[in-house]
Amino acid sequence: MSDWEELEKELAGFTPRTPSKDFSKRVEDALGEAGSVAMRHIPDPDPSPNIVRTSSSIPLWIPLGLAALLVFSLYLFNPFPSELEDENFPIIFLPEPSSMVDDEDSPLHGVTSEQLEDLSGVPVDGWLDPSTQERLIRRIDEGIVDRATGLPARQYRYHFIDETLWTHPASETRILSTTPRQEVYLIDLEIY
Amino acid sequence: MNLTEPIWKAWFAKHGGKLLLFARQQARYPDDAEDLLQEAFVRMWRLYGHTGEVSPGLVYRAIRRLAIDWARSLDRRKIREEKVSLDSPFSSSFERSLERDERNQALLRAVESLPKEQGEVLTLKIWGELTFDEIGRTLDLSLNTVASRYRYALQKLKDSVPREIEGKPHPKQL
Repeated sequence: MSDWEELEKELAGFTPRTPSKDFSKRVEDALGEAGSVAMRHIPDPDPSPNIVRTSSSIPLWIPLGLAALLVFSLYLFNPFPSELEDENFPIIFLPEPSSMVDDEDSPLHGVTSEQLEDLSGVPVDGWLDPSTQERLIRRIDEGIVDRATGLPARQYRYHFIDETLWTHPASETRILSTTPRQEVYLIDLEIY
Repeated sequence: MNLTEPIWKAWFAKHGGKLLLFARQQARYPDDAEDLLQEAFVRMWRLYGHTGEVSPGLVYRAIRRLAIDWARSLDRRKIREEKVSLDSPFSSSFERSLERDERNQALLRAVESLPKEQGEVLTLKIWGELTFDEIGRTLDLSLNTVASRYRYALQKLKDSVPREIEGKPHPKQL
């Protein structure tokens, strides 16, 4: 340990005197009501699962599973005319992503659309365009933070739920998918 | 933990001593130190305190700016003249048990005798536990200036505290 480090350690061993009771009382009086309205924000370790559960009356995995099934079905049967069929449209061949490799162990392997419809109970055709909605759940004032510029800023965190609703009028089927999302805003502050 | 106690009290108990030490260095007159800290803290807490997480750096900065304002203020001079001046040594800003040790006394006297610009950097670094970057922002100085003032301060302390008190043999005796 160098001499300077020893000295630093020695200096750090001196404990500044705690403000006297009289002085603390003066500060308390000067603070007035501001001293009693302080509240601590305890960060929510993982708010999303609760939010999702309360926003939907059915378990999370059911709509997600059905949505995945629907997307897979649309991929298989491609009901929308592709631009790639246009002769004037340039065709670009991309390497097939590894996730698209046919999985022989999948329960969907070799299943036709009719079989899929029968097995899942979810119709393949006749779905309306999905509607989306953003819902603000809460806003949290996370207090003052120092920006990289050195200026203080107040940090606000917004919790949203993004909802996507698929509707199939013929079978009166609706699939609601909810996704939690957060946004953080920093508002610059003057020191005083 | 007492949940009914206002949060500022715990905050003040944790940071108040360090801030008061800095306020003492910034105040032109020792009697102003508590007033400086009170004013700076109350301002910051009224603005941001409801979150319970006011950065001490903000209060350090507010103390410094207020000290500059007060040094220029005629009203403040009037208040000061009405007060009874109670000058006290720098060592009185620390816990009493340390005063018994001769070396500690000498070291604190050496800190007190440092040029103000070195003393304030040392205080913010050692007792304020701020980084050089935070000190630079608090004092409106560049990182290099802060670092070099800190080094000068340490060197001066090392040179000014007699080796006999340190309990180390003088190099000539080796």
